[in-house]
Order: sequence, then C-alpha cells, then structure tokens
Amino acid sequence: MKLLSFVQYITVVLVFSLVSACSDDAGVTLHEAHVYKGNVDVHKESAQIREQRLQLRARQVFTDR
Amino acid sequence: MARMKFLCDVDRCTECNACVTACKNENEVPWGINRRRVVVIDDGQPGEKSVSVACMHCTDAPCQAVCPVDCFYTTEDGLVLHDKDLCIGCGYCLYACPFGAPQFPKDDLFGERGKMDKCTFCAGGPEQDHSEEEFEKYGRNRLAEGKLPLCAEMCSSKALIAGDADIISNLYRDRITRRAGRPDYSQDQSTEQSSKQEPPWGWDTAYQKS
Repeated sequence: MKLLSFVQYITVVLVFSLVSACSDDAGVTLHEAHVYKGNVDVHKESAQIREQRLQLRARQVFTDR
Repeated sequence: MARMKFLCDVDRCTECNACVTACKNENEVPWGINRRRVVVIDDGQPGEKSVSVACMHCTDAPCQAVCPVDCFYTTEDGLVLHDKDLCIGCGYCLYACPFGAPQFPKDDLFGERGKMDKCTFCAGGPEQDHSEEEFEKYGRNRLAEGKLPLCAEMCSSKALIAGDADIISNLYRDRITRRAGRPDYSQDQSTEQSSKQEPPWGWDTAYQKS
C-alpha cells in the first residue's frame, strides 16, 4: 500500500513537471472589459515629430501627375 | 494630431496587384494571407472598377469593439494595431470587419486557426521598433523610418495613396477638380447600351470637351 502511494506521488510530480514544461510563459493576463492589457507600443520619436516627417514624405511621394 | 488613412482612387487603379505583391514582400507575409487585396467590381463588364482594400484603420473600429480579449489598441496617429500575444484567434474580428481585413494563418497542425494578422500600415506592432520580434510578428516598421506604407508609395498610377488624412483628401480633391466631372458621354453614342457606360477617365482631356 505504501509502495502504491509512493508511485502515485511520483506519477503526480512527473505529470505536473511535464505539463508545466509545456508553457514558456507562466504569466496570466486577467481580462478586464475594454481595457487593453498588451505590450505598450513605444515609438522612438514622439507622435508630433513622426507626423511632420510623414507629411514631408507624403508630399515627396505623392507628387501628383 | 494627424490621422493616417488609405485612399484608393478607383478611376486610377488598373488592378496590377503590385500593392499586394509589395505588401507580401516587404512584410514577408506567409502563404495564404493577404493583408491587401484588389477587388474588382463588375469584372469584365464595361465600366468595371478596381479597388485596393486592406485594413482601413477605422476611427471606431468594429474589430476592436468585438474583440473578447481586447487585444486592439489605437495609436496617437489613428492606426488600429493589435497585440498577437493577447490574440486568441477566435475570428470575431473577421466577422465584424466590413472590409475582410483580418487574416488567419492555417499552417498549423490540423488546419488550426492561428493568431490574427492584418495590415499594420507598415507601423509594426507593440514590440521594440526594428526588433526581430516586431518584424516576425507584424512585419516591417516603415513609419519609424519616416516612410509611408510601401503599397501606396510604389503604386505606379498613384491610385493608392496613404498618409495624413488632411494631405490625401486635399490631393484627391485636387484630382476631382482637375477631372471636372464627367462629360455628357451619352450624346456622342448612338446605341442604348453605350449610353449607359461611363466615359473613360481623361475623356474630356483627350477630346477637349466640356
């Protein structure tokens, strides 16, 4: 009986260790309605500088024919 | 703050599909996914129209509204982007989107539907700019390089334009003004069928009418 419980214990430990190895990220994101909880999109430039650069680019690229 | 938008001038689009090819090449989009498509209306009929369609980065995006895990976010310049780490691939966004923009890879085992992929306006995603992770998940980040989406930049007829909504709407308004509306084409045609046809673009320029 003791041997059986030891085998069961070992089996449970093995199964849990195997299952936990399936995931590389143990973190859980708890959902909250209408709240974005993903990575933050950080830009190198501020939105205003980017806007100016893109406006200049648009004027260069879309020179109308 | 600028709002980034696409605009396709249907009178200029020649259905060359170069925008589709450019997008796939620039972002290394996998097989089976088209972030951009050219839709032809009344194909083969007189007066057929082609329009290049991708994510239109809606101001009130339905995909964002229906996402059960809220993986979408809107950037300061109005781009609707998403985090693939949060996406569960449910496909609600595909049903909600009026443009069919969300795409789902099916290259996993048993045709399992993968995480959603869509046009990012060449703005990458919520990873570090120009990082390998960003390129693998979302494609090239041209906006961080001060460039506009490649599909629009390389459109040979400049049918597809992209950028600040104020600039592209002014550009389109100028084009419409220069075209000066449609000439009365029906007066020149004898048959009933041809009178229903719209004249080709540039008709009045070529024939100096109206």
